[in-house]
Amino acid sequence: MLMEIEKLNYTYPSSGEEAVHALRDVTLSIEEGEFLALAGRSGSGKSTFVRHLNGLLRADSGDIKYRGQPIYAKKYPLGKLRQKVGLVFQYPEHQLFSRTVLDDVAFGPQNMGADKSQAEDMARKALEKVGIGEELFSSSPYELSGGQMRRVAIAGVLAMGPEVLVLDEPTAGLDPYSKRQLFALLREMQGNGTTIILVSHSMEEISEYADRVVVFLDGTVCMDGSPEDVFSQKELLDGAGLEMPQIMETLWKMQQKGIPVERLVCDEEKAAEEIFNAVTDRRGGTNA
Amino acid sequence: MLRDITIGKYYNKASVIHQMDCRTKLAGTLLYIIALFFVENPIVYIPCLVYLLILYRLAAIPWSYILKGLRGFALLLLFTFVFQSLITDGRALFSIGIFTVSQEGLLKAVRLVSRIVLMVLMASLLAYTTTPTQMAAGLEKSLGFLEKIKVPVHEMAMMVSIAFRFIPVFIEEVNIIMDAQASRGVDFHSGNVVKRMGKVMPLVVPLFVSAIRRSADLAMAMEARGYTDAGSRTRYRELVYTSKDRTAYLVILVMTSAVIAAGLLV
Amino acid sequence: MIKVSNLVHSYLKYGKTEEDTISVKALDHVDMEIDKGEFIAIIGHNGSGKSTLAKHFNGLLFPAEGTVWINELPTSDHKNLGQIRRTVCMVFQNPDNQIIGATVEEDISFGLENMQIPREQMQDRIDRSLEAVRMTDKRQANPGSLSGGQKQKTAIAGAVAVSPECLVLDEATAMLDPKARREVIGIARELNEKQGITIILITHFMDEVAHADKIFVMDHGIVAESGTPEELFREPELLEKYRMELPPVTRLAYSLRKKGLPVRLPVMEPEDLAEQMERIYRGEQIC
Repeated sequence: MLMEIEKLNYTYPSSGEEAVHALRDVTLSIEEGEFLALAGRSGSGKSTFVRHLNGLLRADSGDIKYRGQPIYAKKYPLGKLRQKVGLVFQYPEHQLFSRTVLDDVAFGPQNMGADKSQAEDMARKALEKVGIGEELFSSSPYELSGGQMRRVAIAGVLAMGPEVLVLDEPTAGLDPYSKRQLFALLREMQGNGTTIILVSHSMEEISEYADRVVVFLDGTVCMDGSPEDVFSQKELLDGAGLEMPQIMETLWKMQQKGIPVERLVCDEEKAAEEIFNAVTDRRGGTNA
Repeated sequence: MLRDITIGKYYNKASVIHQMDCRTKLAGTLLYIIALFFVENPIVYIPCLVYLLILYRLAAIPWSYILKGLRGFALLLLFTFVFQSLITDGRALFSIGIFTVSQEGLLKAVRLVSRIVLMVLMASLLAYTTTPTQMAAGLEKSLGFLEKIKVPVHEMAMMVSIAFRFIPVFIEEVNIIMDAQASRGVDFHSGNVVKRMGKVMPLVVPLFVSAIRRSADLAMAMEARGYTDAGSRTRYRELVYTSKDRTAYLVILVMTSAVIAAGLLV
Repeated sequence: MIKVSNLVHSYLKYGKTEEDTISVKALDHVDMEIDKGEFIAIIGHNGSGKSTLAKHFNGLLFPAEGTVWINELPTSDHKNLGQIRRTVCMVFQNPDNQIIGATVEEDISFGLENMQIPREQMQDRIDRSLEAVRMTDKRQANPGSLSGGQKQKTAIAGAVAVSPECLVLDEATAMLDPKARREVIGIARELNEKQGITIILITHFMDEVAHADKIFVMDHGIVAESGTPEELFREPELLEKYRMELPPVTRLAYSLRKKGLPVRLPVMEPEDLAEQMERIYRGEQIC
């Protein structure tokens, strides 16, 4: 088990009358190499939760273990944790500040103690991974297009060599093509052993890319399972303020109309087959 | 730390105070602060405080907000108190090491701290009960005569009210950028002054860029909504004095003269 | 009501030296005509020029070449701008950067004040516009306490209060979550159907344009395709050329058609596909 989160509680320090209880008894384990999605309506606690994963926020009670080591232990090196668990914020391009693309990406590794040439080396590799060519290395980050800026910002986190990559709505504002590019990158990283944690509002994205989805509701975990299992529970999903992905919704609506659709799936091909079999009622018939 | 600044936070209620004309409130605040400077004897601050608490009650502001408004000034108040009681010469009360606290010093400290507290509370009350837009409109109308000598009062009022509107947005932004840079290994809480200054760039540059982007967006949005200049606009809220304001002016005048008289006599 | 003829918009892209500085055409001879009461969608990938075009509809940008007419008034004449901005209102992408007022009602009044609407009318206009976006209970709310979707609805109310003939949503849904997006689009459709306001929706979300009367596809500063959703969504390859993507349910319908089911294309909503499937299913059982 890569990370174990046990009974995490967190309340925002508030000066107002109503304290905001952001997380309640959140228990979750994260496996190495999985593609985990976190869903839930705005204010459900997902963003607060991910800020705990690299120690930006410290829980009021509960524990987080990274590779078996409790991160709240006295001598635990939090700096190291921030390197291992890379956190990409929403609109990460809003945090670019250096004069050149290369400098900006090398900033993280340098903070982690790498010397300049080492850091630049790591930066080059990260930029290559996200598909930013050599010719842009010495450009100002502000000269790039929106999609490029976002990739540079993500490279800034990748350059630290994280084992877990946490992304808070990384596709917001991107067009479909740039989205696909970004997900291809995440898939590739997963293939190389990186654990991916994705916070997303798009059930389509989750159903297409994630192995597992955890749904937050009012600071608690209310569902946890494969996208197919989670999304097919219509009532719970409604309760959490989420919607079925379009393809599954079509299947569900057919079921409601009394058509014998057997399984609610998200995948386009499987769904096509499911529907075809259901409406032509050939299940088992042709082979028999 | 930046998460709980309350300055400029309007407290949404429909109280008598909220409904008053902004100019009445501005005048009340200003006269109150002036009157405080006439008061030497700390005893007189007690009725001043009572008056203030009554106003808070009328405005339906929860008591916790009084402390909230003061919290930002806690350090300043403590410093003023200690400093004033130590530097003033006079009849010694007691000594700690080389420091001697005099009776005059203590009195002066109490006077100064009470003044600051009352001033801050009155100003906070104004902020809690008046939206920045109303405030801007009030200032604009009160200072409107300056337009005659080519002072761009309207534009300035608009700028101030927009600045207020964006304070919370920028505080939120600072928090996010700090979190993001901390995730890239910046430690904002350690190191000496020189080192800390170096860490400011990753915070300041993005904030600056964002401010420019936001102002460009906002200027475009304002232009699209037909904002050009002051002369050719109508107003949603006309500033008109009602009977409430007339009563309030009476109270303000009585209170101000009473405090000044007490300050001079007691 | 809007006519665009031969419109060119160019800007200078500054390089390191003077020779590197080049003039880029964000819009390259665009022609377009939009009738009163239509629901128009303009789609395209990031940087295709769709947002630049939108800003010409309201006189925020001026043509380098060509002309944009709003109800016969050319935008290039500054004297027309007041009238044009009363006719065409805009809602922009970032919810935080377009709200000026300290409360929802103050913000809505901002546009009214600029347009010199008499005070006596304001109350009523604010009431009606809040009702149109279903935000009546948020009248006194502080914008900071609103969600992204509510902020955009406030911005729409601010526009509607001016009673424009046309409302341009310039990527107004790009920063919203799917639920808020759907709500904003729903409101736009309602304004179009009930009040007859011409809607110009700029977006890269295909599922939002299903109900448009007409779609323009922008690519590299030109109108690459135009037509009804039925015409444009008939084959998936057409839009992929322009880095756009069809909604999942539309693609699913293609797959079913390929498998030999008599699906009527294009399908834009799960409900539509489910109904079609029901008909096929019942039909087969009857046979």
